[in-house]
Amino acid sequence: MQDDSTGSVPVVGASGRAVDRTAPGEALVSFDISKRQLFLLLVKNKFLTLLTFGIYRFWAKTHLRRLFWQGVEIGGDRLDYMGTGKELFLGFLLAIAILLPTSIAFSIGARVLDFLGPGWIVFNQFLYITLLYGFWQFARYRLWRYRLSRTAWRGIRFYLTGSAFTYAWKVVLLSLLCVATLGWAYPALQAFRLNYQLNNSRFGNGAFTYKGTVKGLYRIYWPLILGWQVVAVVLIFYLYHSELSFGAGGRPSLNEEKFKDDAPIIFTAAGIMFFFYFLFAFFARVWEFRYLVRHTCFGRAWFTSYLTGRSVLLIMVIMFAVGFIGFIGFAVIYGAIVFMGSHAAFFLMAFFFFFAYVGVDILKTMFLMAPLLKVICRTLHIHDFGVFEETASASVDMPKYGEGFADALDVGAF
Amino acid sequence: MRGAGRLFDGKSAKARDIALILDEDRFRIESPDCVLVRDGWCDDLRNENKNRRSANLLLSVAPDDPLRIELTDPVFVAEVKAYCPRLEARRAAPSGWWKPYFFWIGGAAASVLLIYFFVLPMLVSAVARIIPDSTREELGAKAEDIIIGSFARRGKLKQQDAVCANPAAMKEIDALVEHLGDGFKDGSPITSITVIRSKMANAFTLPGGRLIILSGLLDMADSPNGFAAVLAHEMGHAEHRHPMRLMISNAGVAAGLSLLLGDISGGTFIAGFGQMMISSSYSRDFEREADKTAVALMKKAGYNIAPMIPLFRKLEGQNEGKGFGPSFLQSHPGMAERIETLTKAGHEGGPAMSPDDWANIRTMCKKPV
Repeated sequence: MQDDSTGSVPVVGASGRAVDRTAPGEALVSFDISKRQLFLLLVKNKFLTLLTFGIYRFWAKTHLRRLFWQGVEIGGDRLDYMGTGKELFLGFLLAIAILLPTSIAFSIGARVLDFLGPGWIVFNQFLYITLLYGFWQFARYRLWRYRLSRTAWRGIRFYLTGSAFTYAWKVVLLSLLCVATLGWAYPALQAFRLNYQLNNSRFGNGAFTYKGTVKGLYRIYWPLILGWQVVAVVLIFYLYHSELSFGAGGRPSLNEEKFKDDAPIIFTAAGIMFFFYFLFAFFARVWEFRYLVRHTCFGRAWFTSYLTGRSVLLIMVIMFAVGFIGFIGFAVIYGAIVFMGSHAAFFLMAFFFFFAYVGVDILKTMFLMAPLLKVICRTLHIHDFGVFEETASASVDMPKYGEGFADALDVGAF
Repeated sequence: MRGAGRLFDGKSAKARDIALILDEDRFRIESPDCVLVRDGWCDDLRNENKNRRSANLLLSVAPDDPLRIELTDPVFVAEVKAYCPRLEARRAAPSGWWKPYFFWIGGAAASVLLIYFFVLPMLVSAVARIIPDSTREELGAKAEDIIIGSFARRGKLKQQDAVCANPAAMKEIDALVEHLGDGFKDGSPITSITVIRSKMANAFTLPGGRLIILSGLLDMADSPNGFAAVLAHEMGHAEHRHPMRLMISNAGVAAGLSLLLGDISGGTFIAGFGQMMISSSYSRDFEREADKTAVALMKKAGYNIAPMIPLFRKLEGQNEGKGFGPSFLQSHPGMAERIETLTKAGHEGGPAMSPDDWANIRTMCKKPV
């Protein structure tokens, strides 16, 4: 056993790759967890959650996050998740004590407005959806804050400054603008979100900076925005000219005979169009991710992502394939049980329902989240990595960040 | 025992090379030049690495201390594991760990109970009063149209044929309801009465004081008093604005439960069950209130309520096999309890109408329209 080994000795990372810890240049990121461990954890989590009527879900989440966080290796060292189930649970209780009366009063108030008349119903629905949306943004910002403040690398924590309230109302305003401009304000909304969130992100005493622009996002998104508008115009134009007939007084009605004949073609065309549109939107997301990574800095350090739409698409295809096969398998077994129809069938059914119930989680976690994280990590490069090693913990007393109950408002119920 | 490791002190992201020394039941962390960095009990060391893909040990030395020691040398890792058997044990909770749980579980429970027993019922009846009469009437009228439509479809009748329109019989029912309504300070809360042609035996009220009678009830009721008592019961619902209150409280309960249980982890699964239980318990209170009103109205009108008991048994029999689960899940309170209320009311008073009038009402849906 060596007494005085030095930090400059290359250490073999979990992935078996040699990582030179003191190299000033590039650092790699990887993600690696045991599938078996993840599977067993998911089954255990679901089982205990079901058994405790959902109370265990806070601890379940914590265990899962700890595993996922510790699977991420940056420059040879793993992330650590410092949150506890207790924090989540207490945050949830606080949310209950405060939010339950609010939400009930709110929903009854909305009901009352409904009764005032048809005009009010529209206004009321609008108000309700807007407020709900705003609250959801608020909760999401606090959720990020909580998670970042519980994430540590080499013993130094991340955190998120900024005001969740400011973030929420600005997102609501910009989203309304998006609706009003038929999507043309979307890049501005997205730019604000990235700007606010990333520029408020901290690691120890260092800050992340994001230098992306609205223009940069327009370059990614303009074909998408224009695309859906072209599709909408074509569709309306076609329906107006070919499928509608105008009766007395110019009231339009569907030309049912003709529509019946044309329907298969229309729906097939719409399906194909929708599929390609979705695919394109999906690729735009990946491009946006690369854009935001490229425009984010941490002191001297900067980042590049080589994530490709193809690799993410492959993960999605595999997930859907596995899900489909699983669904068919489940349906066959379920059908067999129903067919048997004996008393034993009832118990067997409960058993299979549990597995179907866990199955969705397994599908989502093992075939989407884990592979996605893996490919995102693998394609992420950090340049001038040394600056991270020079970071000290923030001069502010660290545990105060995100320690309050309110910060633990990390409720899955939203 | 001595081995090399890396130290993260929680103050800087820079790793420091250190030596971990295990001596008896104490541990020491020393810098390369043998300066003591930290020491403590071996039993306080814990492995924080939960990822089985990594064979490294990631040691913490105390609860809430960000300091970590990473050991990568597999030989030393095995030795430390053998030396410190408590590496994977759970840390003992600090004294008073239960206080925040106690405080917040208590707070949340108090909030939920307060809402369930006081705020929601109060809010609901207040809101039911605020809502303008015109709105309630409109709502009731809409609901009535829908109900008549659905019975018409079920009986394969035209919309207008689904309603039994026998002016003479309707006049008698109106008179009966009016007479019963004299028992209220402001007279009958019923604004309209509709008899729907159906095999089902039932009567219910809609918002805005609209009373609906399903004609099966006329066949099932052997005496006019049983029929009158059922109407009095429904008038009780209308007087206390139960239909409106149930509608509003359902909205509140749904909102509360979805928050409480969360959408994931089977929350929605339990939410449906919970809503059923809470709504039905509210409606059980409503039934009790309506029964009380029925007894009072019948007494004031001078009608004997006793004939309601056999009718009531028959009505329950009709529902048998349709309901499931124990009685608390069903919206009508236990048979025994309700029959007791009715029995206590005694059998004083006379018939609610003459045999001729009753015969007229009973056959009102039999005659061709």
